[in-house]
Amino acid sequence: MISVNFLSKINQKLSRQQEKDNKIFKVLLVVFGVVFAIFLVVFASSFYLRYRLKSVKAQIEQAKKQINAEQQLEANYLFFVNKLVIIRELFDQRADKQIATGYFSNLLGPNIEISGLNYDMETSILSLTITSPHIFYLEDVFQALDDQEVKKNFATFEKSNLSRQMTGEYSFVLTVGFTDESELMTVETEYEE
Amino acid sequence: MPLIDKGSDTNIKLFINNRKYLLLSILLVWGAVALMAFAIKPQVKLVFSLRNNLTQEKDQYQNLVRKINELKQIEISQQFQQSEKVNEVFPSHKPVLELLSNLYQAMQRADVTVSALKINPGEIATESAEVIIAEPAKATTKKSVATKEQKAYSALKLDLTVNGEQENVDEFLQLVERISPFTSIVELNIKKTFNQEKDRTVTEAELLLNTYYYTQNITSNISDQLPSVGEKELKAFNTIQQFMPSDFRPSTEIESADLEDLFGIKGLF
Repeated sequence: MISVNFLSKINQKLSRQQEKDNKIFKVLLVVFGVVFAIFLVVFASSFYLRYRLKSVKAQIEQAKKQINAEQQLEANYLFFVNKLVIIRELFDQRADKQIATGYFSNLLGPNIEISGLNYDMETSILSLTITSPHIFYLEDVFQALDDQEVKKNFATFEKSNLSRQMTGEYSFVLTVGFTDESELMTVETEYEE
Repeated sequence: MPLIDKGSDTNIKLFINNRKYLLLSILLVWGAVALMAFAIKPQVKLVFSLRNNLTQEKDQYQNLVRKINELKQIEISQQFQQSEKVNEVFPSHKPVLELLSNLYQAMQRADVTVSALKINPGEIATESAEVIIAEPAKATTKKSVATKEQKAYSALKLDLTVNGEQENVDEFLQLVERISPFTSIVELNIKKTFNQEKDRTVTEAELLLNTYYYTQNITSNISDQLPSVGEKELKAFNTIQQFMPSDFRPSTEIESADLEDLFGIKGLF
């Protein structure tokens, strides 16, 4: 009787399988090691960032305390700047009136008097009462004012209320309006004084 | 049944014994997947979130440091050291006494006389300018309310009639716009009359003056940057330095007082 031993074959097959398993295990061990290393890196980063955040927050608190200690100085400075901005605006608005009055005074000459003024700073409308000692000067005034070179300096330009006084003087109201584009108006003149 | 169970146990033990590396590999795969899903992924999210927070906080810290440096610079700034002049020209209260005192000074300097003066100071107690150091969330709301409802300044109106020589009145008209508090002529009527007694022409100027004072609230946030003074504002600052110096000194003590008859009306009725 011939005896057949299958155990040797089975053992060989099993050994090959175990070797293969071992290889897979080693590869996966390396993969797991890499994943674990990534975990460690990420965890360390998170820990470091928490630490940095805490430290920056502490610095912020310290800086805030320092700023709070200077609260009065900051408030005074804010008022200072805000007031300067408004003063500059008021200068700008007022400059229209001052420059236009000076302009007409020069344009009309020494014989003509600006005897009245009304200025609305919010709408930038200026009304000047212009008085001429007699009719001949008045004609010169109208001629000067009708010049297109004069009119183009203002957004609106209107003459009204012409009247004659008992003394022979003539007066009328000249109303001019300003816009930002008014060519004549520049605040620099007042600042340079 | 017990025989089958016994056989099954043996098979499992045999399988574990022979294929333990395979089982360990499966465990490693599960472990790696679990590590990625439950530890690495949330940590990565956390890291990104922390990084964003850190960037924001660093920016805030940089802003605060810049502000601290700016505050240090302000303390030594020449303009700010003269801020008293700005407060004098543009006070945060209704400047009735200052205006009257400085107008009187201008009249004396120009040598003109006053024939009529009318002032309506209105309410004595008005909402004065104040500082609110607000939390960031509240700051925006308060600021928008302030800009919508509040005008930055108010005007105190004063009717004034002055008389004098032509050149004196002219000088007064120039001086009046260079006194503090900031005053503008908004209406002007000039009349000339011949005074036969003095044998000369007298000029009379009727003026409506607007004197401006500051009324705006300021809202400030701790991390807000400080505003800078522009070139035009600097020019305005230099111009107000040339305004007529004021002699007005506010009273700080009561020199005499009669509490029994505060307004001196005793015996009038």
